Amino acid sequence: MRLGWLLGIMVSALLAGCVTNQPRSTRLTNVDFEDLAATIARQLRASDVINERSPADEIWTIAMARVENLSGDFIPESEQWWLMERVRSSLPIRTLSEEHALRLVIPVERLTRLRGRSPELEQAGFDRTPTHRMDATIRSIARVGDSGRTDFYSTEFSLIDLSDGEVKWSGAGEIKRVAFGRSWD
Amino acid sequence: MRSSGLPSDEVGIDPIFESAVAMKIQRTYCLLFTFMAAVSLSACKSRSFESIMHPTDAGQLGRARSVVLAEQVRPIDQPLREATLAILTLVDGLPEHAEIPMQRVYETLRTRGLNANKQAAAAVINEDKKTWKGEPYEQALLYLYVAMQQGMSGEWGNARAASVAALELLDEYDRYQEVSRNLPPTTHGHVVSQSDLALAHLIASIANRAIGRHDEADDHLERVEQIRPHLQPVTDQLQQGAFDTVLIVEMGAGPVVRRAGEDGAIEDLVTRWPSDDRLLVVSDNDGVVRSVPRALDVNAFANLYQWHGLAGLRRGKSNVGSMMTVGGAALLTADDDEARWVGLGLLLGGLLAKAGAHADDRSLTVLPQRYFVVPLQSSALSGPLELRLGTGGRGASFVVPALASTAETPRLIVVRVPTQEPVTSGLTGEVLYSNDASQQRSPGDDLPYILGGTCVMAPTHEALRKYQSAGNLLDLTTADLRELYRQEGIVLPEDERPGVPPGAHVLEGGRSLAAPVAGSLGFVRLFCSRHPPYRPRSEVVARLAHEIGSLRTRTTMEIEQ
Repeated sequence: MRLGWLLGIMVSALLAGCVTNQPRSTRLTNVDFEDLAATIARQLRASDVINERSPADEIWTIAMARVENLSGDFIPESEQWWLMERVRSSLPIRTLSEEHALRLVIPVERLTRLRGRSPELEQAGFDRTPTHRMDATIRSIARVGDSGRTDFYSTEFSLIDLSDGEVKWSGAGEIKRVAFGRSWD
Repeated sequence: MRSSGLPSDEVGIDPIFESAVAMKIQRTYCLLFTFMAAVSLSACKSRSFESIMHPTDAGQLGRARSVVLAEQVRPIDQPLREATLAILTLVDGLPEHAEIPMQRVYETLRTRGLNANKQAAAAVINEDKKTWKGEPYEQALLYLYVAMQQGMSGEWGNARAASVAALELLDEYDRYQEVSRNLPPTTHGHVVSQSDLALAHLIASIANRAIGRHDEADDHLERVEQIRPHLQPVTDQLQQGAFDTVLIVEMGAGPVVRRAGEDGAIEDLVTRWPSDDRLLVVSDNDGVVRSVPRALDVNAFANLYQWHGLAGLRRGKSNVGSMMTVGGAALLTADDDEARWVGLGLLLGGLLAKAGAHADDRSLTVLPQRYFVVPLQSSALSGPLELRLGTGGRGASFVVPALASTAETPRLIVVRVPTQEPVTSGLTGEVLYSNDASQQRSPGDDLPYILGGTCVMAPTHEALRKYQSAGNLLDLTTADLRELYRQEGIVLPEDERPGVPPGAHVLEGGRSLAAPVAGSLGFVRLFCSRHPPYRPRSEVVARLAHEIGSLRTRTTMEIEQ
């Protein structure tokens, strides 16, 4: 009987820690990127710089760069591209092209890789010549306390005229992530 | 009829009930014995990746990697496996192939309280029931390996993030340990870290400079000058920006944890390579290029950043277990049956406590003992580079083949110097096998290695053109050539899973063609030392190699006649 109690206490002790469900990491997740991309696409669609343009305007050819990571999180290259892809795919490309004289083209890094794949693709994208560039930068600040850590991520997007460097539009999104526990444990 | 020694017959208990109780007690003790045996066996389990220490020390990183890839580990040891694999791949000169394990390592490191749910289990059963995350010193160094891997891949934003993460980790741990350094703020206010891990500040500085954040880069150098003034020759050169290449030179074998004391309850940090302050002398054909002071002594760093979270509990379990065992053994000799049962219980409980008192001796065995940061201007170098510590000798010298100038600046190369000599002995830095990582030609590279030549380039159009311009393989197309490699089971670059560490190279009897970065240990081991001729696995390649060999012999004889 006493042995049973002892075993019971041991098992309870083992299971005691299994009930906590607090977040353990302040890293950015796919959901964060999706929310961010939706926010930025919404801001861009609602912007004057887009809506004031008509089909008769001179075409803007926008090259989308990948995100520059200045945050405290390690964001793999694939995710840096993926965020921009999400923004692009959230935009009505045909409407932008037909009603606002905007066209989106692949970035130069991708073009270089494409051209390197086979001799047939060496001339790919010869008419690409971008007039504008869409940039994005992620920054963050971190606060560490006794019980955990909080990271504030801020992402800025900007549309830059390549001829004179003028910022035609900018948008931003913020994310806050909290995690509990010791970093070394 | 009595099946147990319990004193029950005087009160006239029902024999069936008595028998059932006795069986229950027997079952309980059997269970206890089994549990104890299991705990004891788990305590005796050999350390993970112990077998790779020798090949790693000898610089045979491809072989070590193959062992790790093949080894089955418990899920709680998986992070140790990933970390070992990531480092072995990176320091072998394959940063792109280290990407996936490095990302997993980073994910583990950034997970706070990874073992918060297992503290009770670790206390009651044993500490090695926790998922491996490493000691704080191992974690900080792993962050730096992530930074190096990203830097070698040209991803300097991520390199910056990972090196700063190492500093943040140590700041948090220092606060917990109530260590304060009271360092003044840096000029531009970018560096708030109080950590004295100079290697992290140096990498952060290089990364910031690479992405144009010069103020932040200078702030990190300023911090290094405050905490490690002897590194001024390095910080000066980094500040001037007079470099296009940075070597991170790793020497010696890092410390490992071993169990010590009664029941192995004490974590003993065993030094495998002694510390000293010798400078690293870097020379080329024109003489000494520079002498560089050490950026990090891992022995000293590990001593400061080991977390002894459960050390007291382990010692307590061991002492209590010893007392219970002695007391139990004494009671076993008593005349009274009940006392004997209590004695048995105490003995078992004591043994159980002692079996669970051992320290967790899992450690990252692939770390070096010291790191040097060597900024270089490749255009100013002449011929191969010799790296030498003091007067050289075993594990203290290495030859890096001539580094071509680079368009990607800065170029980061991790150079691991093996602690045993086989790889480095007799090396001149001459490239003996043509490969995809350098433009240098080698004698006999007009044929692929699998057909008797010295070329281990991937079977591309460019490689075939080279063979055919020498009059070889004229009737083959690129597709035919690739098919020969496939027949041999050799993994072509496009068939590799991106970011995954390869096994051994074809030159070492494996199936990979992955070419390590020029200047790395992998590059030197594979392409700058002699390997046995290739032994074909398929009939078609064996026949072709034989035909080519016969033709060459005939041609040579005709020329001689």
